[in-house]
Amino acid sequence: MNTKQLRLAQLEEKHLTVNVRSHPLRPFREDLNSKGFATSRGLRHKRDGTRVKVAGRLILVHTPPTRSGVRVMFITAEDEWGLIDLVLFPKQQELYARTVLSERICLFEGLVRRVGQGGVSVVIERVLCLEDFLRGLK
Amino acid sequence: MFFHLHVRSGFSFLFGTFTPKQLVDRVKALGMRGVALTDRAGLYGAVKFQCLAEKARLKPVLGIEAPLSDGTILVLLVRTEDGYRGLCRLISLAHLRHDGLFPLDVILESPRGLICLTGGRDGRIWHLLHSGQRRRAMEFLGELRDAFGEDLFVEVQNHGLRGDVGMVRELMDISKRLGVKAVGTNSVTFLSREDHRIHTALVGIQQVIHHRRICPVPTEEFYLKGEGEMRRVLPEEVLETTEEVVERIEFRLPLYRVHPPGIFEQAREALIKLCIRRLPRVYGRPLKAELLRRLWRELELITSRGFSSYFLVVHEIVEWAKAQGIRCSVRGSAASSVVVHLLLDGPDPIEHDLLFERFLNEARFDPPDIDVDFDSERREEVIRFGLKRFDGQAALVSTIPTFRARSAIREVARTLGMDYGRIKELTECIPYHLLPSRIPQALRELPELRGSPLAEERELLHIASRLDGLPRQLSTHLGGMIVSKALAELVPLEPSPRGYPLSQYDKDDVEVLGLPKFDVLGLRMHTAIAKTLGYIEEQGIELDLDRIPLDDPKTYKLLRSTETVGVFQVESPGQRQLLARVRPERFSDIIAEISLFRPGPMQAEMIDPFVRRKHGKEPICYLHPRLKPILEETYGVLIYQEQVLRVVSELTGSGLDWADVFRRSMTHDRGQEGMEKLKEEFIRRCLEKGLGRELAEEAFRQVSAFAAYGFCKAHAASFAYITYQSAYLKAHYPLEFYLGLLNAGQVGSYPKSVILNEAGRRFPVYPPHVNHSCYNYTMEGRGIRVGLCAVRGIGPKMAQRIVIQRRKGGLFRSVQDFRERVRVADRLFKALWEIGALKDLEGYEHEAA
Repeated sequence: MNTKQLRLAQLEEKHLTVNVRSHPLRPFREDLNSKGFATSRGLRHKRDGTRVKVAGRLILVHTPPTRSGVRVMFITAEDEWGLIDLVLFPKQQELYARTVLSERICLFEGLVRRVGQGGVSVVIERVLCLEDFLRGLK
Repeated sequence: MFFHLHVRSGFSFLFGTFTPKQLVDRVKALGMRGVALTDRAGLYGAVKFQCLAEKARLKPVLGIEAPLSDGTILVLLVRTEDGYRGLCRLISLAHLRHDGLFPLDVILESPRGLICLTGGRDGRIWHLLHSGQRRRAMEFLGELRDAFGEDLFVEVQNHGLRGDVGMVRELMDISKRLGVKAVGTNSVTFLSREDHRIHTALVGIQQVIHHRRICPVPTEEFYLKGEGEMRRVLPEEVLETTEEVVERIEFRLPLYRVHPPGIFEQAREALIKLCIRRLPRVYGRPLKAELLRRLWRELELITSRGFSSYFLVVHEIVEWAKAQGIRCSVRGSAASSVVVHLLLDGPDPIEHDLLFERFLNEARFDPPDIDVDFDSERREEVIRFGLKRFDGQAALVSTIPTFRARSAIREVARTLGMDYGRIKELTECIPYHLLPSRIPQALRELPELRGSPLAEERELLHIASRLDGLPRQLSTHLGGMIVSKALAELVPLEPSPRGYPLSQYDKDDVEVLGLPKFDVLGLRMHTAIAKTLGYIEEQGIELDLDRIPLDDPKTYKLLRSTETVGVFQVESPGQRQLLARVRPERFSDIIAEISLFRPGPMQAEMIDPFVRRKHGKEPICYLHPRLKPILEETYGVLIYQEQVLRVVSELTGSGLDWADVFRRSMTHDRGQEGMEKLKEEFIRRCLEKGLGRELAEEAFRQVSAFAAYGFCKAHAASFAYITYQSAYLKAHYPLEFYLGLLNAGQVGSYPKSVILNEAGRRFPVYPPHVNHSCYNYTMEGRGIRVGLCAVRGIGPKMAQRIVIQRRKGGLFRSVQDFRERVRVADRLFKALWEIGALKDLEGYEHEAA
């Protein structure tokens, strides 16, 4: 963990409504890299069906009505390189909906789903909150 | 037969515990033939109540509780049309001039067509008698009798409280002495005894949250009693009088009768002249015969319905806004009219093949509704102008928010004495739109709510779930404005929080009353675009955004890249994914893109066939070759409502008017019988047009499956222009566009941090600094300087102080210099220092040490 970056990110979080010098994920990037987490930029080049791990600050969680009545959560997260679109289906919601709705930063594991040309999303299989990830590192 | 004549519903905000629907259902169940609605100081629920009562074959009696300056009330019931007009004026006067109190002298001067009840235990007569002032009570009753004559009734109530029986006797005695009839009422506040708890919770919200000095009713007896129960507590004769009162009522609100604004003299001629004058300017010369025929057809319909004034009013307001440099655009079905295009701009209906009949037609009798989006930051100026220009004839439309689960839990929990920490725990993960009555179900079904402490709070849950559908307060609608000569006599008004006249009826009621409404909406994207254009101009670049080519390759490349954060309508995750599939190449693709990503087209699964056919992965087929010209632009998929109209018209040989009736019928639940009738009619017309029965049935199946889900093309085309313009700006002037977004408030779906982070990946971003930052985000070289607005705790005033000091005394030289010239609180100083906003100032390192 980059403690200097962490301090900076914490101060910005405390005093600013935006982050300027340090994205909240930046202090943990080395650790994330070492554990095989992809960035939003890297995700764009992943093939359909590839298993990936990504991390991001949660921006939007949307549960639009569907024709079948099945509740699907469409999640947008953000890392230092851009946005990550994710989908959480009902089975996984049972386990992770609360985490997604209450945490600020989450780590996700799932399968890449490519849509059209350039559209990428991740179908979530597992969610971890940042604290649990850091605890695991220790 | 007994009738309840003094009834306070949920429209006596945070006091009554039931909706007009619940009232009507209960009255019907009790076997009564009618009921009054007399909410506090307003007719808020009158239109809904009358509609529901008429549907249930009950006689509706409209009225109010009129609060007087001494804290007592009179109940005023509408007897005639004159009475209604007078009551509207009286309510408006009380709210707009007297803080919601009704001046007694005005009530006494204009009682024509109103029935007056003395207010029961909240009335002045009761209070005077209760305090032993019998003579004054009789004097006051005499005053009322002189004004109202036979339309005055002494209200007699018995809630089983100490002294009530004696008071009944005394009230009947003085009424006999003065020759005024007595009538029995119950000041109904809830529908059943048990709801007294809900009532006290609502009053508790008033006390605890709004700090109002108000008491709940003292007993459970203020419920909607049946006739038998009333007979047990009041004498027969006063109950019989209720029937006499109801028989005197002649009035019903005139519903579904359109009231054209009637503002201008010779409006018809003025409108025609204006359109003809603008024709060559908008369409150039020579003018095509088809265009002239279309214009004339539209004008004939508009003028024959008396709507010329309405169009002129909207035109005048929009022209004024444009003259002030306020960006605006038409939205909705109005954009399909050539008249609207000539008067207000917007997409060209001829170029985009938009149908006027989707907006207005011979078979539609509802008033036109034009919605215009204005630059959000300057919308207030437009509203001010409109209200001032049509002073006395214009008002804003209200909206009446009801409780949602979160607000119900939060507010009831506070009345139960819970602290904020506990309330936060209880409301965590509760979906924003959840209705209070659905809380128990949500606790069972939503995984994120499993184990929620809310499940243990039984009393809180019981009360909160009972607040479902109850109005909380009168608020201002997003932008609805009524302009009508008949306003003062048809609509009761009160001041909005900003002091503008506000109708007590909401948007739906105004429509039912037949008053044309004009929506002055705010669109943050217009604000962002206006600011972006300002930054571009500062660079010395001239750009007329309304004249940019609609085939700019860089713009389509950007859209296809799906890097569309900040671009109007296509920035959400779903829209970005759809962009990746549609891969827009021309303007009509953007219109389709906007239309497809809607609940209707998504539910009807239109997206997949559209995308596959567009990219040649599926053959394009048509139900009938005659439909090809109509559906060609969307690869045979029925996406637009305009296409539904055309298809129905083509297959059945009917006019577009009937086709629109058919389309609208599909959007309403008509029931099995209604649907069968419609099907028969459709097939009969198809057969007459030469189609085979099998084909006609298949046509009905397909059209009826899609008709309800189509999207209005005129609306999509209007939005597509803004989408294209914002994409164009992002493609050609990204730095200026980011700045425009950052300085326009909350634009679109994403927080500013996301916009700034994206900008930061392309341009340098500098942190806030006391020597370089203004309040807003600014351009610094080819980078962005974060404004002081991003520092928590710095408002516009503090930021202004820093900037003014900098301008007056030059840059801050040292930390000491800054502290002396700008006196900031230690907490704020520490924040500025910690985020580096004082960096490089002399003494910064020392301060750190």
